[in-house]
Amino acid sequence: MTPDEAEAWDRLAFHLENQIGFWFALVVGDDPRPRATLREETRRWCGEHGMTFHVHAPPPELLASLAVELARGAPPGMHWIRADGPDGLIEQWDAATAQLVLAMNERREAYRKRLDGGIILEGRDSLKRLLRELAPDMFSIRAFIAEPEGSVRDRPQSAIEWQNPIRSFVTLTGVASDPDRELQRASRLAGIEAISAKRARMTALYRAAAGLLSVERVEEAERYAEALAAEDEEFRKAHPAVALSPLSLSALNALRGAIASELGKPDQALRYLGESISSLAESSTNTEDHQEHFAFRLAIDVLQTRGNVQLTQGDLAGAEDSFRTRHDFLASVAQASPEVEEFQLDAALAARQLARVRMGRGDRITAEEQMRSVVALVAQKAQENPVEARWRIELLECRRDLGQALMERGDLSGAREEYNAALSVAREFMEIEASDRWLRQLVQIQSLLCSTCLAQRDFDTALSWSERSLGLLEKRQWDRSNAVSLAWSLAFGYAQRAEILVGKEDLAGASVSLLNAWQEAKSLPLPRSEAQMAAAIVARHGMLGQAVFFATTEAHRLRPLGGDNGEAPDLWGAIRQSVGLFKRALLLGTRLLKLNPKDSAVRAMIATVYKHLLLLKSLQGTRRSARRLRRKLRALHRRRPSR
Amino acid sequence: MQSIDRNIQRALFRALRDRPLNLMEDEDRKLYEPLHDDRHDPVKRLFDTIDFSEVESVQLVAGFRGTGKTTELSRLEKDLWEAGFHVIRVDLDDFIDMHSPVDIREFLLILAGALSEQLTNERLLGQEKGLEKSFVERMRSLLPKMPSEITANAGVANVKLALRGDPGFRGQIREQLSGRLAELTKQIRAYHEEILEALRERAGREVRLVVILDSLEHLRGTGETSEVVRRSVEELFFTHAARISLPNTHMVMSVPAFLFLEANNLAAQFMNGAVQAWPAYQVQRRDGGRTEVVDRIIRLVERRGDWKQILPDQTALEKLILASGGHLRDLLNMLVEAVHLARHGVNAESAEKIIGVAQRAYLPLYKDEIDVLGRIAAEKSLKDVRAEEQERVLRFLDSGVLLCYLNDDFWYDVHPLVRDVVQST
Repeated sequence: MTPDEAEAWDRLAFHLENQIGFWFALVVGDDPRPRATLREETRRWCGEHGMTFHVHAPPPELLASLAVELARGAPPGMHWIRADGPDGLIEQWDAATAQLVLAMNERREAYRKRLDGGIILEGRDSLKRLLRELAPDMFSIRAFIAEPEGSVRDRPQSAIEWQNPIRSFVTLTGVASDPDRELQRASRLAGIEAISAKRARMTALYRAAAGLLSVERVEEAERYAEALAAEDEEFRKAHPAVALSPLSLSALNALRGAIASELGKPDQALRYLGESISSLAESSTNTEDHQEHFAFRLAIDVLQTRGNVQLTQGDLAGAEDSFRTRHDFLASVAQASPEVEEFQLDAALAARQLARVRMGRGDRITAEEQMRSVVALVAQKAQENPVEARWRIELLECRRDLGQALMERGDLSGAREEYNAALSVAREFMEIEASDRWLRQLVQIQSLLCSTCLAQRDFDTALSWSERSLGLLEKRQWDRSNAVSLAWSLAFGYAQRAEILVGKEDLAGASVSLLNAWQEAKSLPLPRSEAQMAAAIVARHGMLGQAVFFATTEAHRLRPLGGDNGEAPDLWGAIRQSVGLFKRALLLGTRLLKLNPKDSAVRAMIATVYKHLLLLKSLQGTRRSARRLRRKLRALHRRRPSR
Repeated sequence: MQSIDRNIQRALFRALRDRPLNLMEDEDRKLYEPLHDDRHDPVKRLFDTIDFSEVESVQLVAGFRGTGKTTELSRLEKDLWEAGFHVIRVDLDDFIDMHSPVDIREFLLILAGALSEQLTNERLLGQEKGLEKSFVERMRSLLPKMPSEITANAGVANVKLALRGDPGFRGQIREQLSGRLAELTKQIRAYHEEILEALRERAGREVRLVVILDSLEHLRGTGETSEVVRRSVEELFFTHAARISLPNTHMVMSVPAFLFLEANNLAAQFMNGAVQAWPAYQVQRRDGGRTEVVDRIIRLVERRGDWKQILPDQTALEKLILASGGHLRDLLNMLVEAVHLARHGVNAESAEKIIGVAQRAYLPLYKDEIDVLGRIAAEKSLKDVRAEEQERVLRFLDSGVLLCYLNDDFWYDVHPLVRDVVQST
């Protein structure tokens, strides 16, 4: 710790030791490193003193809602809120922090009554003015302000210009509606005949459904969204004056689309989203100025959801169309307002998304060109704004995506170059804050580098990348919230090492490594986000099963006839080993298929494993189990979902 | 350099933690030290106006955060009870959403509901008299279309929750009482008469009732709502002044500072109206000379604990008091910092270090802020503040960057902690 950090920590520790009940403090500074040091020290202190430590690090758009959640009666202990980070531009964080402190100021009494512990708000220097101006009560009751970066008094006091938080983002970061309160309100308004009451009920129902979706109570959200749609339908016939305007109807259908998508009903989702776009087009003729921004954001969101749904359905052409329209909207706004960083970032993100879909469709040349132009733009932005972590994150992801595009095109050395560039950015972040998030990024990029080396048949370098990743993961110093994801990364890392060892013809080593992968993966929960890793582990089991069998049969074939100079390869042992590998592949593959029964790639992979296993079982002469496998294979084909 | 004992440190930390004192309680009375001199004691002024007004009065208290206003209002309550008055003190923070515009119809209902809730206090009517029910019945007759779960079985608590937390409910009230303000006022007054009658009956004598409404000064929107909230408060106190006063009752209301700063005819809106301002404690005169308030504050600190354990000498304590500008909350924060530093030993530089830490809370000041503060610091008044800068000045007063003092007239100065920065930039 630097002397400034030590001084700030000493003050923080003093309050941790002595404060009782609810208290509030700030940790501020433009440099994230000293703040991270204080956060980790606090975590350590809380651990040693049996106090629960909660870190809240939502993206900027969810920051204000955190104030409400804490006021509802948060668990006792220390609550550390991060109001800065690489998930947003500085101007977005300022806007979101403004909303957060406003919401906290309104709820200070609730904190005092319901919260047994402290809230520490961590952010940039601007946080002090935001709190002073927008939350004078919270500013007034602060316990202290820690500045681990050093006192601002020590810095030159030339008058600093104040930048007001951006408006476009502020509109998006308000506190989300409390769905239960909105439902109570809707039920109170039921049956009242006045037109204003009917309108108020419809607004309450909409807010309730949106709020329910945001807290993942999706079935309830669907019920109230449908109730609202039905009421609107009735009003359209009986009291057209009360019915929703085209813009509101578009918002409702966008919400229904998002809900249907969450519930795994893609056809319904696409229908609603299509209706939303039609209503939006209808509304554009009579949209007032203040609604324009809302309509624009709505269009952007609808196109995003529609593109995602189309992707899950495998409709890459449709997804490309949705993402292209979305990109064109955002690019035109970015072009019109080059000074607004937020618009430039949105346009870059949309371009990258479009390039990825084009890549998926096989349009590799266009995708690569687009990706290169995004990388150039983002690299320039990152250079112009060295303190803006969000651009550096985007640069990391762009370079990683470009690397993948180059790999698809077979430009392996180009891909390696891009991955190395991405890796150096990830290392910078890891240096600032050694968290699971950056660990995952590092491991992912190292794994891509490893794959590139494998494709180049540079097994030694591939193995060295693999060992580095495994070295990081095997320490198992993970937060509970990231444990599943990182454990899957570890399992995948073992599987990848097995693949390298197969390339190096070290089948015994590969078997051990793949057994490690299996041991790690077999009892892990399998969320959708980890399906790709699980599929890779299944594939490598299949691959090693074949390799072991064919290597042994080949050795058997090449053995000099009648010669006794060399030990006979154990063919039956190899078959048993391959059978074991195929069985493990099937166990994991079946779990994977349950997760997504429509995934034809997984289905085909499992069918292949069944066929190999069937062959080995026949060789072993175990007819009964061969029959059983045939039945399972037929069942797998029967259950194939219709297109 | 000897470090402080850990138990003493903890005891001092707890004693110095900032909280309002309730002078109705013995323990808190031990910690209280009067800081105002007799001539400028706002509690005495409030008390005298109530005592000298025959039947009713309305006094508005314009106060700023962290200046001990809630503690002093509890002193007023104690003095009034001791003088034979009946006192109802309500913290409106529990009833009003302070960040949304306030409407006269809601305000009247809140007033009646808040009084009703307080009446269950044993010194007033007690639990058994059940006037709370009467309030709900009146509300039901006034608002026949109101949702059943609010007005039917529920008591004041439910109405309170809905009024504070449910903008939809407030909207319904406005709608249903639209054009019926006179009827509502009549009902509220009739209800208040009922209260007075019940109090008279219980006391067996004529009752002089004082209603203290605290925290109304928190009624200030922030950011985009500030303008509309401000307009709603102005409308409440200027257009509906006659409606918010209660017959045969003395009222004391803390109000937002802007009402006091922007209008000089506020008191004239009410019968026996008066406006009292709650300034910061004047530890220095306009010319910079030390005042005797410093000695009183030293006595206040002594009541909280042995400050010699955390500061080297009285000069150091006085330095802190002067640096606080008479803003009590800042002084207490500085003393807590002194407790913190004392664990590494007390030395001659302690006061400077503590002041440095306290300064950080207010710095950096930005160019737009320094422009305005510089003019106020030069003139010690707000006369050079432009109309478009008023909102900013109110924020300065809210956060304590700017302090308001009272001699025979009001004057303003930037907080001593930032004075150097304002003057040097």
